Amino acid sequence: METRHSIRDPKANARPRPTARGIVLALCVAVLVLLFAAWRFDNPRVESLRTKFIDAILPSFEIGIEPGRLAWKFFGSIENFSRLVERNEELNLELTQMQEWREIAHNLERQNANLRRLLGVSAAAPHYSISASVIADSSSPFRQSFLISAGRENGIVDGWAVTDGLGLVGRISGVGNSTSRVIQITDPNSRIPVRLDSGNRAILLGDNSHSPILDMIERVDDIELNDRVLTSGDGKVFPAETFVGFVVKDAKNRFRVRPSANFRDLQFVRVIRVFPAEPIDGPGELIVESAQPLQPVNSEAAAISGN
Amino acid sequence: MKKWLQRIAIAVATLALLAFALTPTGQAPSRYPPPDAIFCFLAAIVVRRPTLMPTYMVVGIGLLCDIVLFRPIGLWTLALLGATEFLRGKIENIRGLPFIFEWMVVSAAFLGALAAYFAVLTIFLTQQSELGLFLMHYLATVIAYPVFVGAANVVFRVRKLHPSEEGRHAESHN
Repeated sequence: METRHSIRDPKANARPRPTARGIVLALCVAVLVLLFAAWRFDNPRVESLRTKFIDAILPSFEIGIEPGRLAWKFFGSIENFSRLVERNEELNLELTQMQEWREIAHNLERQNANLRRLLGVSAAAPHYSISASVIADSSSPFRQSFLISAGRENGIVDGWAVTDGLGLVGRISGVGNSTSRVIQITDPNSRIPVRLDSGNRAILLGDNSHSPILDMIERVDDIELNDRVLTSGDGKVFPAETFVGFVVKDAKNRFRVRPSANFRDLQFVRVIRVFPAEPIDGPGELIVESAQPLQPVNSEAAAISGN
Repeated sequence: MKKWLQRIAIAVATLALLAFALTPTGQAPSRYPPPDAIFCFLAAIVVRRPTLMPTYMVVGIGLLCDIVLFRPIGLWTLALLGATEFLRGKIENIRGLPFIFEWMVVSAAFLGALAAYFAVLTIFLTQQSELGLFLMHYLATVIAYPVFVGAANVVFRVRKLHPSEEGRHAESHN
């Protein structure tokens, strides 16, 4: 190091007092530590700033994302091309099967409608959905989330459920003006209250694998493989009766859920709007209160069954 | 002037890498996590031409990635900064040696950064990840590094400096 050729050697006389470089470095470290501290201790505020920032810069990123998407599509189409005939046969086979299923579905629908009419049941409170496309994949190896092309302007609210038509994909977490972020059910931070066919309740826990874990199962003995798993709506913001998938068992004998949503090819999603049921917090006005000591209806139960 | 053009080209390339990472290609969690392309690229540049990747650029790129990829803000940037500063200090040691030594040093820097990152995350109880996933991500990045070195050589003509030409590029960089 001492045998340098340059005369103005920046390191030679840098030892005693801090260099400009050292000061910049220290400043950077200090700012970063402060940012991390702010993120850790005032999370909601920093996260909302983050959402605003992403909302502002994402359109400019789409210039870059579009070629990337084309490139991926190109590689995908080469693969498809090479097995075109094979694929065609597969699809024809599937089509005939689907036609069969369609008949069954029509029949069931008719039957269902008849039975409903007989029972005089009114269907559950309507929840409409907002469609959006997946615009960016913000997953890293340890996080599973993506951004969709609908935000506050489209009426999206934090916490709503996101499906792809086949099954639950995740929930909204972070809403910007024109984009919002969806945390997938496979993310390690995802916790979804679910209900099984057997009436069992459990929590669905993401762990970065394709099939989330069923945790805190109410009655483990009652659980059966291939049980259907639906959201239970216990979280109040989350709609009940959204289909998630089927129960499977992994190599370690833990119960997991194989999601029926098609994560592999996720382009469009539907955000399910939830209208909170009107809480019933007292007896109706027709009833004279002193005449009948009526227990007020539990508003929580009403909210769950109303969804 | 030429240095600034090169810096801008490198910044644009990093943004392109980020855009490519953001491209939605199905959301199934992969059992084989992809390599950290941005780390590989930054490390390849820092080892070759430290002046083209000044500290503030590392910080800027790191923060942008942290924000867009929904990571804890600032933490991976700190790890990245530590790793690149470590590499800056090691440039003299690996100059003129075969590539395998550079590869080892960069792998060590990435391991340090990743370990520190997860240590802090665990201390602050924000996330616990599987060790297997962590190792796979590490291995993928180490294996991918030579590819990025090749790309940096071909696209940006940034070869490692020969000992005889160090004087020309040794001016302070920030």
